[in-house]
Amino acid sequence: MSNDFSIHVEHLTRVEGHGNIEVNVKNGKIEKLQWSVIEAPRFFEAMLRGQQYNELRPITSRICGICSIGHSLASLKATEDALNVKITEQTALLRRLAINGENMQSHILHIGYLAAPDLFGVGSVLPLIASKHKDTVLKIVKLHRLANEMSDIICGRTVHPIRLIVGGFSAIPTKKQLLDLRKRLDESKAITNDLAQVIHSVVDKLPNFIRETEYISLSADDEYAFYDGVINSTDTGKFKDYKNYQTITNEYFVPQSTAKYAKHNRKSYMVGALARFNLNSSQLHSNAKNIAKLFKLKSINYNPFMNTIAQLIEFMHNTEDSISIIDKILDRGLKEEKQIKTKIKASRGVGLVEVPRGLLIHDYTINSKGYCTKANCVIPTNQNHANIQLDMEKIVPEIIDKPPKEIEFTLEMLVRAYDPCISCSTHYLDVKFI
Amino acid sequence: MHTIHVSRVPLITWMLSLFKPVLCMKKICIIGIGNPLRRDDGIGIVLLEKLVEQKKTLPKEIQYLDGGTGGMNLLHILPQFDIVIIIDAVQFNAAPGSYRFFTADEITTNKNINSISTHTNQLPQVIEISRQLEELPKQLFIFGIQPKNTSYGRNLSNALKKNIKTLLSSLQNEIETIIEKNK
Repeated sequence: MSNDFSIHVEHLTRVEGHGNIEVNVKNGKIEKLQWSVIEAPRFFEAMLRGQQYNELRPITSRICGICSIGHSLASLKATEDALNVKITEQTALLRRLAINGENMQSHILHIGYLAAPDLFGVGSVLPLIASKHKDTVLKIVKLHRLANEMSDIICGRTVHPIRLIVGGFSAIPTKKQLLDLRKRLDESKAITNDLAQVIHSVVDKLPNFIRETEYISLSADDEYAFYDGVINSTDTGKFKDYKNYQTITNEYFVPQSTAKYAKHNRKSYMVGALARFNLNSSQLHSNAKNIAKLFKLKSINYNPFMNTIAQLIEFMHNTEDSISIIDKILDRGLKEEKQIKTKIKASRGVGLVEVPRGLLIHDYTINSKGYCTKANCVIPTNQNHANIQLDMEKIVPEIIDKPPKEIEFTLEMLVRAYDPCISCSTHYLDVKFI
Repeated sequence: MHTIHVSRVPLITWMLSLFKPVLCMKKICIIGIGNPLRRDDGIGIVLLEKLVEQKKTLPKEIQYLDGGTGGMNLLHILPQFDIVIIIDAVQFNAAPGSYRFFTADEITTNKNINSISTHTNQLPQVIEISRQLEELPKQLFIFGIQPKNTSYGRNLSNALKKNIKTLLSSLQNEIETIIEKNK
């Protein structure tokens, strides 16, 4: 045991954006233990003020290169909620396909390129290509490529979509494209199962750490919720008054971070794949349930390291769900639809969706001329910061007898398990001092 | 991936093209990357859009792509082309608004170029993974522009704004030279 040691991880690698970990131990006692987000604050909400309602979606899609479809959909739902725009069944189905594609893109990126190196004991994905695991890397690349092309087919781009507009789509995929996509999704299930077996063979590298916390995600009666649903909590149940989401998210500032933190029923809560699994696992498709069985993952699971496994399960679910959605679209007949006319009125709208890292909320106030006068975006990673901090406070005393390098590695793995997207989570209060 | 084709060339140019070999059989893509919500970081997207607006000079077979901040997505785009030209903000300690045109090989082999992309250095990683997967295009170039201000906001800094015409013209020249070499 080291009586005195310090750990300072500046700009933690293999996460999106910049975060620091600091640990100081003196005479075997923890003096400082801090997770901090130090990325420059972003002012997206300020950029939205003064913009016309149909410009909000293209701007917000640039907030994040990973969740650009999710931000687009949250933005459209908020705008449509404010302007009372009702979308068609086909639009809702295509949007569900879009969000599945993005979730698959993001999850496989995290599992394959960011988390897998920890499981295989290497520093990055590059040594894996040159190792006996090259075949696994090629499978990951193949799945990532499929998810990317799916987003392109539905949204017109792999990133920063252009076809998603208020009330519908500016262009839709062809029947041939959907049939081809369906075939490739069906074929990919075998690759995902192979990958699950490989990850399972090294799953004992994930620490067996438990800390009870609250999990929050959307839930829906008839599906594993991504596009639609009501806020649900493992502590307090469903909360249907979506326009008062602030009573759930309770965002606040801490001195060590440029990003907001959040809490609800306890000192922290977690959002993301594990939260969705914990709240909605009974609604997973069959092959996804089989992967959960393989890893013996049952709800409620309180190990944040299992978030990566929940992502793998969701990847399979999104694949199966997309096949089922394509069947529905084709059964009812794919058709070009007239653009829905929008009637401008002064109002406020709130849009909620589940994006890869958890619950995303956009809240807009629009004036009688159709311009945004107020905006608020609640980002998933912000909701997880307090939970990361409390996980660290529990795990460090449990492993304090380990060598400092091992403690450092475990803490890095812990943060990576949350798949934080720090670069889009940073916001800061605009204060003018006199 | 969204591809934008250049507007049609004038009829006479098209007719003349029937009497000579196709300009370039190789598949060429020009990719702008960056975030237009971070001022000069979006210069790659701004130049790409201006390039697409140009209705002459470049062959219509060239594909144009807004890569935004997709990062690893480039890994799946690169293998589709023989020649790729990436337009990006690059920190190389030069006067804001100046540019360097360099190849993918120079990123890893020429230590002096100090070509660090502003996107958490993801571009060199993507190129290296692509190289190791043996999917790197035969020719990969970067048109890197020195940014001045990459804080949050939607407008380019004045240093870049006043250089836009020069940058666009230099970019076009570089593209034309590559096309000429590959005829």
